Amino acid sequence: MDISPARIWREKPFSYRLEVLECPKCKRRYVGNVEECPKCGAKLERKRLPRKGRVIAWTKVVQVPEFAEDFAPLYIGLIELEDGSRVVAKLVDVVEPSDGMEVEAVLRRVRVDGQTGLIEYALCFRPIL
Amino acid sequence: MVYVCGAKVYPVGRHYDKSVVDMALEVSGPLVRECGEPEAIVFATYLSPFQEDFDNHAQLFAEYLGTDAEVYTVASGDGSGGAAISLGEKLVKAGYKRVLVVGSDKTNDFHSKHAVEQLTTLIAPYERYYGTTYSSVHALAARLYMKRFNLSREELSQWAVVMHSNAIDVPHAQLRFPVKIEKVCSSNVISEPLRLLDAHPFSDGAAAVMLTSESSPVELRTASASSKLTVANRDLTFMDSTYKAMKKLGVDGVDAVEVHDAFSIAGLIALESLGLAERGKAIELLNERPKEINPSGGLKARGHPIGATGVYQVAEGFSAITEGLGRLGKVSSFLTHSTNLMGASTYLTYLKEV
Amino acid sequence: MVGISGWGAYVPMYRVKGEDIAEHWGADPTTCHSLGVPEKSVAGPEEDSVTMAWEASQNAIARAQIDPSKIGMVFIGSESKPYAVKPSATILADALGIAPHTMAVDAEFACRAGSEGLRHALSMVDHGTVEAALIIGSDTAQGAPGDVLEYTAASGAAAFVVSKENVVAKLIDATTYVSDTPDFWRRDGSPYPRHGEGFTGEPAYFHHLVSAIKELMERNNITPNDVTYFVPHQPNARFPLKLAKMLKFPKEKVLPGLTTAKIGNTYNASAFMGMTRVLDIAKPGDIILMAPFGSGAGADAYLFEVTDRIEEVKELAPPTDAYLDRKIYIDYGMYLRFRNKIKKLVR
Repeated sequence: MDISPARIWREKPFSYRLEVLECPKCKRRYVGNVEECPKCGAKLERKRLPRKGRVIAWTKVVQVPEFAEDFAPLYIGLIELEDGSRVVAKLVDVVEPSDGMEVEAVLRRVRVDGQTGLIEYALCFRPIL
Repeated sequence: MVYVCGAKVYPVGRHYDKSVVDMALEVSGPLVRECGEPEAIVFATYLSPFQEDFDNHAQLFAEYLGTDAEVYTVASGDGSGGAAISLGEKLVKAGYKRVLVVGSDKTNDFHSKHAVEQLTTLIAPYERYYGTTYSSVHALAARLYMKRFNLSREELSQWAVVMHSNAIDVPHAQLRFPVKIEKVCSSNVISEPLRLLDAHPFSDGAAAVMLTSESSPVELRTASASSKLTVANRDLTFMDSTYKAMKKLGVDGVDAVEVHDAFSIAGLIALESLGLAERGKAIELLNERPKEINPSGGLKARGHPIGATGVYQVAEGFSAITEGLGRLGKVSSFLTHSTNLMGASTYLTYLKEV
Repeated sequence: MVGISGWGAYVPMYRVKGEDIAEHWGADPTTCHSLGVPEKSVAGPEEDSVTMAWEASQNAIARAQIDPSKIGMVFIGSESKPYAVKPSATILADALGIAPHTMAVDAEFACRAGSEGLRHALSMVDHGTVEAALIIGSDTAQGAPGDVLEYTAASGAAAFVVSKENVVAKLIDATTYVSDTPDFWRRDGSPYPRHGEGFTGEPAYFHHLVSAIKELMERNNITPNDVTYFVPHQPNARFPLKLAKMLKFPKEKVLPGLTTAKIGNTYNASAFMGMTRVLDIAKPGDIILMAPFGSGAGADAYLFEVTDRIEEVKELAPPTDAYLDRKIYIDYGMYLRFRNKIKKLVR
């Protein structure tokens, strides 16, 4: 696996800060870097999702992709944030997650490109302290 | 009208000695000789660029097939095969006399952990970088479904039991041995609550179907729809795109169905999204009509050569109508269900005896 | 009035026991106890000095009640940078919403790099060059397998926001004392540091700290009686108590900030971590003497006076004890895996 400098750079708003694009007119949301709402044409606005939420469903992933072997087992959660929006993200610092568990976003490593490549950081979720 | 005049499948399994193009040629050569030269080729594949470090399969395939037909590659994730059939149908409707739809794909050239990693490319970047896998998306769906509909681990295991027993009499199937519920329930965990025997095997294979405007024994119709790729934005216990595609298709009853059961849970959800079972009741349908649901053994037991799977399903439907398929025997109508990442898109194909 | 307006700590939840380490190297199982460090914190596989710094900073920013974009300097001191070349400070500035109009510094001075940043920050904020600064000490400290450092080299981070507004600990004075003293070093490209064992004590730790602290106390005409808490650098739990004795500080003034006794030496976060715990319990009017040290060698001594605001902001982030008490024990094998000490396939 190669981690591309350009990709992790352009994905920062979401991966570092949970920033999404929201259409002021039709309220549709996008993750990425587009200028106009593809649906209604209004200029999209950056909006930061809440850092806290609760686990709706989770899975302990044992058969992990090669790049995630150092992190195995992985806990992947479907999380409902305080404003009702949902994300799928990694759960960290968990021993046994539970449905309804309250979680908050924390910055962690999610991929490491060998011994010489880039390190990819992203917000993951862990039980509220 | 669009018809199927012939279909061929390559045994699903581990084919270290065959490339994606080799397998495609093995099934397409005889089919073209039998049905005649196509005017267009639609080639479905998904993982082969990662597996073979080559991504121009359709062109090489056409060269070796010795044709000057126009060539298109279709990649719609694990629904590529279904998408290719759907496009093939539209080309015939647009006026082509014969269109060859071929699906060929590999997952076994590397260690399986590579295939696991390559399959994560189906998932949206912002959900994928954590290491979210194909299996974990299905696992989340299983958690939600089992909780909502009170489905037990043993009930879920019944899917694999039925699929394995259906595959026994299907010569091209990959896993032609029976399994017991206890064995499914105690197989290795892949992504909780899903276990190894809930999952599709890693498969290599190719299937080809010749579509034509000339009257043939089997008539074909497709309907497709898309929904959301982003996992967080879906109701994971239902495939919206399947529901929408089925409405477009407008078919009431079918004799048999092949659904896209990459993991057991997806099979149950597919049956309900197709409207063949009430929500939460697919397990009852499975127990009532085991031979009519995935008579090939499905992705679970026939195998899942990712981008080729949808073409296999249609070839199997053609066999079921023309000569009979496994335990099912001969039927007169058949529905196939191919999806991209558990229902982000659905490609349905309805086959009917003429 | 310039000073600390926000403080925050972070400690990973994993712990490995010193006795477990000793067992694997055939060492005396009482070694860790004689160092006063029965167990140490270990960063998880998805953690590094940047991720730990991020959380400590979040906590500090929350207590400072400052808009992150007002911060004009991000300064991180670490000897376990994820990249040899590529700043950690810009990752943090971006992820914390501080970038782009800010200075961003990664500094190295063994365990004292973060403290060098604190001295810069206090001066630059006082001078008006920047409105506020974020200072972080963060380390996933390295100790070579089998080396005595392995009992104490721990993981953690501590951060401070320095500003003139919202101050909770007003700076009274600060001093620094440095010299070329080769007590502990790591050559470029080497994964683990080496050290002079006993030489790290008298000529290094004790000489530099005593010199900086004496100058501070003389200059401000104070005695240990005037100080509520004494928080020196803490490579183990023994050195700080010996230092306190030399300077005539009673044990009771050292123990509240002696976090190394619970989690080990977090290098750049060592004295800082103790300081965060002391701020968690401090009362308005308390006087705190914090004295970080870094090998190579240098020491700083700071005198702070706690303000009334402290009571209003303690609850705005988890106290340091919440991190110290949150723990899961891992065995030595898991520790080796987490800290990437197992020879794996190279890709």
